[in-house]
Amino acid sequence: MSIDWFTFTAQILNFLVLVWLLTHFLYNPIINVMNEREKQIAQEHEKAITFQQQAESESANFKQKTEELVHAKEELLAVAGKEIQSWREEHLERARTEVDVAKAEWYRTLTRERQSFIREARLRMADHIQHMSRRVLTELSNADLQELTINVFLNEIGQIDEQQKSRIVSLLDSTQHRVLVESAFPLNQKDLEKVRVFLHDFLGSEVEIDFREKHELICGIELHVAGYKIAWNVQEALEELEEEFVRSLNEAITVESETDVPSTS
Amino acid sequence: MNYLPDEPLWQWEFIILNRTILFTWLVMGFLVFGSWLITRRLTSSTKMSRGQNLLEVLVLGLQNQIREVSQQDPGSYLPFVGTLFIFIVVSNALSIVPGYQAPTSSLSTTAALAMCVFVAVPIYGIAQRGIASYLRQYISPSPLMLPFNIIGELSRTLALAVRLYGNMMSGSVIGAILLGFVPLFVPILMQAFGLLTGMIQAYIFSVLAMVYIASATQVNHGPGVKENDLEEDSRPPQTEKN
Repeated sequence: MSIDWFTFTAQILNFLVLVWLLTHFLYNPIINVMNEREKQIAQEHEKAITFQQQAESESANFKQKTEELVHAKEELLAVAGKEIQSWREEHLERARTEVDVAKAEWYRTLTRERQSFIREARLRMADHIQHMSRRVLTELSNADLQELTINVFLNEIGQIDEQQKSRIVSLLDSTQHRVLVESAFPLNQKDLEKVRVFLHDFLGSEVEIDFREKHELICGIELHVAGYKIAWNVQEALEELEEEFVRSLNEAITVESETDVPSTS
Repeated sequence: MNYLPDEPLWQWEFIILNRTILFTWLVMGFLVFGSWLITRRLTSSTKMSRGQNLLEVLVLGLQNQIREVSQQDPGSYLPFVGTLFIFIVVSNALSIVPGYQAPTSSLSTTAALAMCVFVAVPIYGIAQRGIASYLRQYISPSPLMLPFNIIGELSRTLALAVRLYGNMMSGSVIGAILLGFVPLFVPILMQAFGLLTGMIQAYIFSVLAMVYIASATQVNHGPGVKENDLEEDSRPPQTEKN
């Protein structure tokens, strides 16, 4: 156990040299690299924080935009809802108007058809009544309806008072003593002569009589003297019947309309 | 086997070359070459070579140890204390190589290292605190303590040198003696035990050196307090040695 002073000195020098060498080749490079890595990590950390802040900012921005979009969507939906409601009401109104127009048109058509039907029914009914009356009268008195009608007609003319008769006679001058007899059926020779004789007797022999058929009179006969008319026919009775029939038909149609209207609207 | 590592192998005038110096150069060459080999291709990325990883772990461990002991930035202490630790560790660890004789088993080497610590303490102390403040610690708390403080400085330096030398030399000697009459297995165990002792001694030597330097550089504490701390710190190694 002794110290060799040369070795002692050499080892001191060796150690100092080793300190320098390791500082140069080991500590400094490693520490520099570690510091550099630390700096990089710090930079990356800073960058990550920046990115995180950006992400948070963008997230907040996105959230705000989303809320705005939702709000805008709700507004648009509300506006669209209002427009749809308005459009619906408008079209409903238009549809109602169209329905009303169609209904009115339908009523007009129905009224026309009803009038046409009534007219047709009236004619047929009159015919039927005429035939029926003729048959009944024939069966009852053994005289045909034509003759009875003419008799009634001539009887009515005969019952005209003097004042009215003179008024009719005075009118003959304006028609050059021409009168017109219209009948619903053709008069036979006998009836023609009968009417002619009666009128010559009633108005004067100079009177010229024109005969004409007019089916609308319905079992009747008329005398026209310058706008003055003396008539007897079933038309009045038929008109009363028609009025009654039309009233009944109107009631029937009204009831039908009332039951049909709710289902159509 | 020659147990006198300072015995000259070659001599010219007063210059001699013995196993201590030779193996010291070998260790130095190994350390420097290894460091150069690894640090020539360093990368600051997180993917690095295993060698770089090892050196970073080593340097970081040394820094942490120094910081823990000194409670100061390890920057200026790392080269000195770190080199002490690495040199002693490698010198001791290579003992398992046949034919190698650790330089630390030579009292000249351990004394040289202790002398380096002895000189480094006032250098760091004066650099840190100033010469007046540093010298004042020798006469505190009383000028009467001056001789005791000086003796303490010298004795702890001597203790450093002798502790390391004694441990390493004794390990080598015991191994050699056991090889003589129990040639199988037991020397292997002794070698393994020697490795452990070598690691512990390297740690003790460098930590004590750091403690001495730290006590000299800390302003707020008197040398008396630090002396006590040092003595307490130096006790466990003594018991471990025994």
